[in-house]
Amino acid sequence: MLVSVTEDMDMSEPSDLVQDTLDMLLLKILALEPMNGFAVSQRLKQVSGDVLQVSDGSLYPALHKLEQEGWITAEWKTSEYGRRAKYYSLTRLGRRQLEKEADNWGRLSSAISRVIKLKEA
Amino acid sequence: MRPEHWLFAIPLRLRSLFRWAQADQELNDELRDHLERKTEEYVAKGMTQEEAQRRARLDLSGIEQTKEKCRDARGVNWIQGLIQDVRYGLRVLRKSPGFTIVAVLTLALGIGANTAIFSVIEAVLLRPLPYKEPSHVVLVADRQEPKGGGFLYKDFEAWKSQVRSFENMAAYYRDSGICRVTLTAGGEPESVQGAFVSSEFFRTLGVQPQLGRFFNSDEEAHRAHVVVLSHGLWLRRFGASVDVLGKELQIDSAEWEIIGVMPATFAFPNKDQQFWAPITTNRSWQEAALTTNIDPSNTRLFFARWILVGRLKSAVTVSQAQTEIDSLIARLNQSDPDKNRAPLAVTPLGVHLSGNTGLALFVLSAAVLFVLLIACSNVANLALARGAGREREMAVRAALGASRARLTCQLFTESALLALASGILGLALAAFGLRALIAFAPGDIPRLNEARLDASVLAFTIGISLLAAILFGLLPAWKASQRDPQESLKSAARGPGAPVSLKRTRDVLVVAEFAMAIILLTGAGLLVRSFLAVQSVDLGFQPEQVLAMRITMPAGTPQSRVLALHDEVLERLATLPDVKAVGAISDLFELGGVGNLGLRAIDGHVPEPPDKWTPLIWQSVSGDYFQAMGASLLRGRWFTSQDGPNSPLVAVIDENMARRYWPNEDPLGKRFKGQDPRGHNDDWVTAVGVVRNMRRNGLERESVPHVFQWYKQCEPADLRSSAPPDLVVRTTGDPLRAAASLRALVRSLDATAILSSVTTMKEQLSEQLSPRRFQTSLLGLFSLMALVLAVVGMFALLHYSVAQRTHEIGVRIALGAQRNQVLRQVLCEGLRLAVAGVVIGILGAVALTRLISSLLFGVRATDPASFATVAGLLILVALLACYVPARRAMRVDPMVALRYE
Repeated sequence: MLVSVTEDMDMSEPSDLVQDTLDMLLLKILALEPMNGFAVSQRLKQVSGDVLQVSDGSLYPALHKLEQEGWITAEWKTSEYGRRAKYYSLTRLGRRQLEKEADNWGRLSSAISRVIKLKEA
Repeated sequence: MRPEHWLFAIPLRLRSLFRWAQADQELNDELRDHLERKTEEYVAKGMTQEEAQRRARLDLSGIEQTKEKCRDARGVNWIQGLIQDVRYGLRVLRKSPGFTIVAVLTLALGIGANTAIFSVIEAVLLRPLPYKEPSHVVLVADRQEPKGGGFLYKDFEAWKSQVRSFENMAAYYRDSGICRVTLTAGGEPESVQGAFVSSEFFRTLGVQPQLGRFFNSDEEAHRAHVVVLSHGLWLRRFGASVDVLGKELQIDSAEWEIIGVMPATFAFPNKDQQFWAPITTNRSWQEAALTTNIDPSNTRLFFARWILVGRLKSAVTVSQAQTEIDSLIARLNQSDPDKNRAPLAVTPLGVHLSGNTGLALFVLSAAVLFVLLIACSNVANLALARGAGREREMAVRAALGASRARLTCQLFTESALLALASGILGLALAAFGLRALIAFAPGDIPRLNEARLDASVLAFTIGISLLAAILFGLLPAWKASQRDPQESLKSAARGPGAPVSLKRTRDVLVVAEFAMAIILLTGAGLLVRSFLAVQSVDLGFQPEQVLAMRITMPAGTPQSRVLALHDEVLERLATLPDVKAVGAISDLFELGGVGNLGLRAIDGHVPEPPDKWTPLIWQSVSGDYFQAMGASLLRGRWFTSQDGPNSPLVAVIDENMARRYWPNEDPLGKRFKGQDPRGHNDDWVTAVGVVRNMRRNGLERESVPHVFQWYKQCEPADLRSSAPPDLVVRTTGDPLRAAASLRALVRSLDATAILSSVTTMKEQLSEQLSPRRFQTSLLGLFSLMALVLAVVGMFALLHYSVAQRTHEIGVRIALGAQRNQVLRQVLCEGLRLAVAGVVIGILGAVALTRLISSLLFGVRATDPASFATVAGLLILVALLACYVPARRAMRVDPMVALRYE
């Protein structure tokens, strides 16, 4: 079986995301469309090209925390395959929170990249 | 948090709290759904069904753990946890009733004792006095002991306008004898205590009458007969009627107008005065003003009879006020030297009122705290033993995903439940204890009757219960959380066997208990020895079979009638069949301060300057006073019927007096003159007899020089009635049995005579001992509690340790160990701890008993005998506590022990 680079990296647990960053990513993903927990984990892997690995064990507590904060809301829906699943969607508060965090992130990452790009003497 | 946030959060949290089951079900469904999908995905990638399921579960890193994290994320987990813990805790406690009952009883004892003592301390020391800004109220009084002295009323009147540190100042009479009056208000006359105060008194204390008004300075100046009633008198004599104002009341056969009623909370300067009246209306003031030409406010005669109460200005400290008073006195002594005012001390009223009770209460509260600590370490020890038995349970729960914090929390919840139950039981014990305490306490503890279980006491109980829970609960919880669950699971499978560190903790607790018990017992032992010492003090008289009573006549009765009745009573009583001797004295005992007095002239000596004066007691006696008391004549003679108003003045003096003035001479026949400027004091008095010292001025005080004078030789115009009121009757049988016939006889001689304080001499002495008895028995009780708890702790420790080692002991016996050896080993184990505790305790006691040295009498704080006795006692009971478990160890049947596995 092919062992991907990222799976190798997984052994050294590189991407245990900082809680705030994980919150932001989850909010962003749910901003695109309401989905269930499993789909969220798939989507995370997909969009980040497997770089960002969030273990299922931390995903669900994170989702429950966001729900508790009132940023996302959940409802039980029957899925396309006739299965009942818990669908999370962004609330108005969550959208505002996402904007705020995205702003912060933008500022932070551009600042960091500016520093990184400094030429060595 | 923002409000709109709460809009979402609150319903969610409530839902998770109240619909916990549903929320949890949904969580289950969600995770199961996830697992199914994940499995499908892995299967699609080519795994087998089982492998895919395993991977999916692994990805979730433990289903139960993830669930627990999700519940935590919902934020209400701790409430659920708490509810769960409480329910679980209750179940656990119910399942081990033995442990629960012992623990609750032990703690309830400690908590109850603490609560009861605290409620006393709260009432006596902590609760502010019911006056306006009570911290500003001070007393200004002479330092009665050892130096007497005082000031003139005129001085006070001058100071009122001069002093800068005081906002207000008021004076009142100190001498309670002078303030005792006959009160008639319908009904029978009774002898009551009144307060005679200057008109600023109430303003200074900042109190308001409940009804009516106070008297003013005009009424004071005119000696107006107006009184303000105490709440008690108002209830008792006037049925709390509102139209009491303006009514008349008879005090000492004169009519007085009632102008006000005080609230029930106000009881100053004494606990039991029934009214307040202008200071100028006091009997002694009136008589001085009427019968002599002396201005009562400007005479030495009234030295040491007043106390000032003052209200300090807001920014003034006690020491500043003291400095000002000192300079005022110094100035007066310079300008008016022959009045020789003594220094006055400024004391905060609170300090003055609590007086000596402060130290005693402090000692008692320290003692009950020790009892609580011992109780806590006992329960901690029990909990540790139980904890060791529950290790497997804890390990299983930890393996199932319970965090260390969660487990600690659960153990602590159990402790808190125990503490709560103990607190409730303790409160009930405290209610009983407090009632017993108040009933048993001596009368001199101020405001004790106000002690009750109120809100602040309740808060204290809750606080101390929680403290107890922390003390006894945290240690076992912490110990349990430190264990590695894997290790526990393994060792639990092997069978019980406490780890070494746990054993050491338990040993330390038992040693600490013994040390604390030793400290308490030593303190109690010293107090008991003091008590015995006071009881065996040489009284100088024989108190057995003596009845004492006071006969007074209503004021206004002519002196001649008083004297005639007195003589008649003495004569008739002496003829009663079971009466051996009858006599009387002006004051049965002299328990208050004794003023310094000097003699105007002494045979063969120059008179001493006032600063050389020492306390001296001058009493008049009648009948066979000395014979009735059982006093012993050392030299000379008693008074006889030949001593009369016209014969030479004679006195019986005591050894102290003889030694004080004629140290190496024969005192018989020596002459002296008294200090009092009235009466016979210009005549020489000749000492005709020397009596052995009698402890008349307090059992615990050095007896003071006495002069006894014959009542018939006292001037009838003397302010004191020349008929000594305190009757002493020596009987052949039980003195109380004679009381009834004595009473009837006096009544038949004169129906207006007031008979009061009819008691036996023994009782009078016992009453003097009551503060000491109170302290001693309470400390004794607490240290006994400590002893019992410590011994129970030792017993439980050894019992448990033997039970745990049954197997080991069985093996050793099977291998040929002697049973005696086993016995000795267990005994030694206990004894080692006891000795360690005793050594530490003795060191602590040496350091601590010094604090109570002022409560001791006739024994030093480091009395080796007391220390040795207590140490021996403790080791003895420790041996007894060890013996039972040791016997059990000895009797271990190897077969049973080995099969026990």
